[in-house]
Amino acid sequence: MKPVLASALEKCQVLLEALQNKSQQKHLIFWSQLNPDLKNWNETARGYLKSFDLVQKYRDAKEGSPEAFLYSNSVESCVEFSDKYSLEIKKQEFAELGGLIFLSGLLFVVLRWALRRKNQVRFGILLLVSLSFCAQAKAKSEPILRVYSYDALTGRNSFGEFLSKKFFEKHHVKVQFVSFGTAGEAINQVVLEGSKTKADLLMGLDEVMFRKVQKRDLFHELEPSLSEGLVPDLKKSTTRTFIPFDYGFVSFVYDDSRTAFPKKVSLKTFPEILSAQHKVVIQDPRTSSLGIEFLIWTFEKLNDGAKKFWTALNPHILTVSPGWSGAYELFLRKQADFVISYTTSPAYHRIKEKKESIKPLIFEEGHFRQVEGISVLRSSSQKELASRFIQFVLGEEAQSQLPTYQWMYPARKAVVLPREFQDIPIPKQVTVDWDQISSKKDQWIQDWALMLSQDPK
Amino acid sequence: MSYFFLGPALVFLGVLFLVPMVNLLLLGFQGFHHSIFQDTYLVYVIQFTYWQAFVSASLSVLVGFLFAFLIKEWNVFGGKILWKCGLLCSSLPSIIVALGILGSWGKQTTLFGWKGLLLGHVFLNFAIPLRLIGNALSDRERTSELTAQSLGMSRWGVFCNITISSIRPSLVSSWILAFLYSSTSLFIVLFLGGGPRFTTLEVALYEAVKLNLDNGRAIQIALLQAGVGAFLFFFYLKLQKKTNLESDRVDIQFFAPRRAWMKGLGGLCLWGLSFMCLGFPLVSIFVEGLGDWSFLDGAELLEAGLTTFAIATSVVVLSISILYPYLHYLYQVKPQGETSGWIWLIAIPQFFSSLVVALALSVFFPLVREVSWLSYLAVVSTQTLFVIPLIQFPLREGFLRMSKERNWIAQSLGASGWQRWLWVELPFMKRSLFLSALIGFGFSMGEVISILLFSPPGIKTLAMGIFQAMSRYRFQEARATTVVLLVVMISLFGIAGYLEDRDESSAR
Amino acid sequence: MNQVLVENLLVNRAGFHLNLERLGIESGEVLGVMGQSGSGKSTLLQALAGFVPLVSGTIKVFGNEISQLSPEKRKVSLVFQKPWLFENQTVLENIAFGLKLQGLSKKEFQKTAEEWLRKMEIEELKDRRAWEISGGQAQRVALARAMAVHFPLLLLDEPFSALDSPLKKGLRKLVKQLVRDSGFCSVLVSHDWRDIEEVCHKVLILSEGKGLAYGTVHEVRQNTNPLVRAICED
Repeated sequence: MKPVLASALEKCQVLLEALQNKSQQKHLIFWSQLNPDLKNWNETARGYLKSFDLVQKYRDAKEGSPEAFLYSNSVESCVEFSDKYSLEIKKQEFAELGGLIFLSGLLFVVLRWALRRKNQVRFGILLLVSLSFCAQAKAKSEPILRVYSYDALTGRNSFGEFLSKKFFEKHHVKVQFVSFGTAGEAINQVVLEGSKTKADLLMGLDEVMFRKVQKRDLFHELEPSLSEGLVPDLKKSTTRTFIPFDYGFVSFVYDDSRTAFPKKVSLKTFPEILSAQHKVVIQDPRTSSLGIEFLIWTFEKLNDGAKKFWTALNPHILTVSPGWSGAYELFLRKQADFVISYTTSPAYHRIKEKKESIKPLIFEEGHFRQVEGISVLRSSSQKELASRFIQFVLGEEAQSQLPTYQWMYPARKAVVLPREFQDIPIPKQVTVDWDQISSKKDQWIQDWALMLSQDPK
Repeated sequence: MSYFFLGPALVFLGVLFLVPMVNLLLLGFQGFHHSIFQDTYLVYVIQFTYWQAFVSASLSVLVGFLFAFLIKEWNVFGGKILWKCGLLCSSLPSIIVALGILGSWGKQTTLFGWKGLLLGHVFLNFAIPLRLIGNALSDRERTSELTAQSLGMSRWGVFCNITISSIRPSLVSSWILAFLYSSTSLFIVLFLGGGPRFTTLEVALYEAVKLNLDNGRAIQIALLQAGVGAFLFFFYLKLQKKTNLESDRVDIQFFAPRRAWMKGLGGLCLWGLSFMCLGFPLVSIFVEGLGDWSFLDGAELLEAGLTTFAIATSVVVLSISILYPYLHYLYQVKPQGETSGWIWLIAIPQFFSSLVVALALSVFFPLVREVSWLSYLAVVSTQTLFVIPLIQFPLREGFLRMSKERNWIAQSLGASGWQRWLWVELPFMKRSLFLSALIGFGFSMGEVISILLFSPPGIKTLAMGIFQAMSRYRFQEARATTVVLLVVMISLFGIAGYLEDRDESSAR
Repeated sequence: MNQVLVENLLVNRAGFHLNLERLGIESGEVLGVMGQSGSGKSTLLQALAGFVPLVSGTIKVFGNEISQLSPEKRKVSLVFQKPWLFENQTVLENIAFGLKLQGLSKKEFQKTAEEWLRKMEIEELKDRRAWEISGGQAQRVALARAMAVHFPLLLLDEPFSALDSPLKKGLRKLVKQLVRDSGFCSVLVSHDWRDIEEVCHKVLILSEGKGLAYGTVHEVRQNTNPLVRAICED
């Protein structure tokens, strides 16, 4: 091996090891905040890591060959970068030592002053203020990818938690899921925050919500290659700004151990089959994507019969919940017999509770398919990282785990579903004309609100 | 000199309330079109809002009157405790009340709808008539009642012809306030209403502002609400100007029951009603909230607690900093004259719903929802606008008890203005200040609307955590958090009640 | 020689006019002021103390013109019907309040305050607070507080009226003696002729903001004006 190359490789080796060392990374990140020249250091360093792969190939290339010429630039850049990096680290270490000595001296002076009785309260206040500043500084020093989403996707034992953990393990980047009651609220927050939003991604938006804000030009156009591995059926729902990650079929769910009901019914006659004691919980279409989708489904499929449907359903409605979580909770607490959810919701009970009695109602007319997607915000300063996150969400590892977290179908093709999912029939899909729906939706909501405001008795 | 004292309060009120509200009303008038009334659903919502408020207020006054009568006239066993419990009930955040009712009676029967609304509103508002009517009953002039009876009128006749007319101003004022609070209540309707049939203007406003980002519709609704609020404010103000007859210090419980067993029965009924409507919901929160804490994340709870504490402290500091110099000027510095107009000026915000005020602020200062530190400022300012009318009472009591002679003596001995304030006035006002701080703290801890509207995502207070858990019907989590908040609030109000009693006895 | 001299005093307060041509008090002397309710007694005291502005006139205290000075600079101390002690301070601290403001060191003002405790015969109350002492004791503390600063003019607005007879008697004697010994001038407003008789050297009778009678106690007692006689009646 050529001596120049050997030393270059050695330096790149040092660089690679340093960048994989967590404490060195933090070091680098912290100081890059203060030194404008180092601002994109992190991104640059990762770029050079890629180059390092190329350098390995260069080692194996013949001298004078086209490959050697191609890769030599990478070697030079890598060497230059690692020299600069080593120098910076040395400077930082000196500065830290000096800072430490200065702070120790200051602390000594402050403690002497604080020990005088009168100053104890002042010292206490000073300490509290300093601690809060330090906490703020610490919080700011680490790079974070922020994802706005609805509550079921975030929190403990959620898909979001799984994604955060695995993504950090793989890429050493913290993913923070910010929780909202519904996807609608999440998107409203982004609209309100405007260009100053801290969100990098919006996750869990469905097509209805997405189309509502599409014209606001909030989203960044992603590479088409991101959606290559998806189920072919989802192509119509995919755009460069909206990438599906799961889908499900909207339906009523019931417990056949306490509610006897035919497995297959007509949507049109469903309210008429309900007995006087049957109680239904629905989601508010003004706040919940599931709610609006169910509403759209009834109006699209039943046309003029929709009003009759809702008038007949009204007496059975226990309450109108703002979101899915609330409605489902009431169903689980046996306060309602039917709840609008997904055909795949029973899989949760089969797997977690070993309960087979929770079943979906299958309607002859077909079911509305809800597609949930993920989008990157145009205002994000970490678009590349966000894209990598999407890649991860759509990757095999995440998609194979998705069904048992989200209780929905994964968007990636050829994912093996658990047996409990396979037992659930996949219903006929209702197709919708989104352009028509966009113009009629608001009127449907008005009509719905008016219908439900009538005294059912 | 007056600008120095009155300035901060007037500027604060002007910049953060009057100007944004006027702007909102102007925008509302500009965009107002009669076609809004062609929205059949909105018309229904308007009708329902004021009908349910009418029924809620009437029921609250009835219950409050019953409590006041039995406590003040019959002197039932434990009346003092019930009196204080009334204050606690009205001070609780409505979100906790909704949770308690859902967790107690909600398990026994279907509460969504009228039952839930009325129960929730009576729980929160009955303390207003209890206090106002109770004080009117205690302070009324009884000589005419005794005279009428001596002339042969029955007790029932005396009650209908004399007593009712002497306490009528308190009946009407308490009804107005209960009507106002019922028409602008949000969380009771949101959680106990259950759908479009039980939606009020406040809920419609919340949906427009928070969920649909439809500022135009929100402003129209706010205009309607503000109009009603302003009308009620002026009507209430007019009522305050009517002078009541002076108390004649005849301390006879004219309507005391003639038989001892009647008094016992009355006490039993009162305690039974208290337990069923008030105690049961609160007890259920504690019993179930203490049962399982595994739902709670300790770190999150601590963070929410610290955020709550930080916001409440800021609100209290800001409120007192603004109100104290204002009242100091009116009661200590100003030459003798009418002060009631100035007092009512700072009380105006309480006649409008916090959502309307928050909307006005966000429309006038759009940046508050975009920039983090401005959002914090908006949260603190909105809460301060509503805390100021509350804490003016203990502060005013303190100033009224403080004599000008003491101040003169200090001044004659050579103390400058600052020295008198520091060495004479402040130590005297310490208790009033502490009481005000406790009340302000308690209010801020339970406030959710300003946090909902302005705070950046991810920032959570204890009350906000309860709201989020309840929205998702995660009642156990909500209850566990509520226990923490309730313990703090009950402690605060317990101390406040104790200080109030000490103030009253020292005043005597 | 009059150490306190008031000339052509005119005060206007919410439509009420107080008009005095001339008033003089000698060193160590107590001037009593009597009159019906609303005659201007309290207004006179407040004008002397600086809490009510003068329309015209002069007030000279030991040769210094004080009518344009703010109350804290006039060196005029006050005692009211109620003691109005500073509640957060002990009896000693109350007495030392004015002394501290004079710029005395801690040792000095404590020593002076203790001296006044002895003069008032209330040494044992040194560390008590306002609510721990009786009305009579509190009034003694108030007097000590006003006199300890040794201001040239002491104003007393019905200081004995809230006390019972035995206490009044003792306090009247004490006030007269202390004023005489210290050499400052004093004005005592009272409704009770006995206060005037036992404490004062001269009396001013006010009616509707004007002086009705002025002279020594004996002279005023002999005045034949029926209104003056009515006011002076026990």
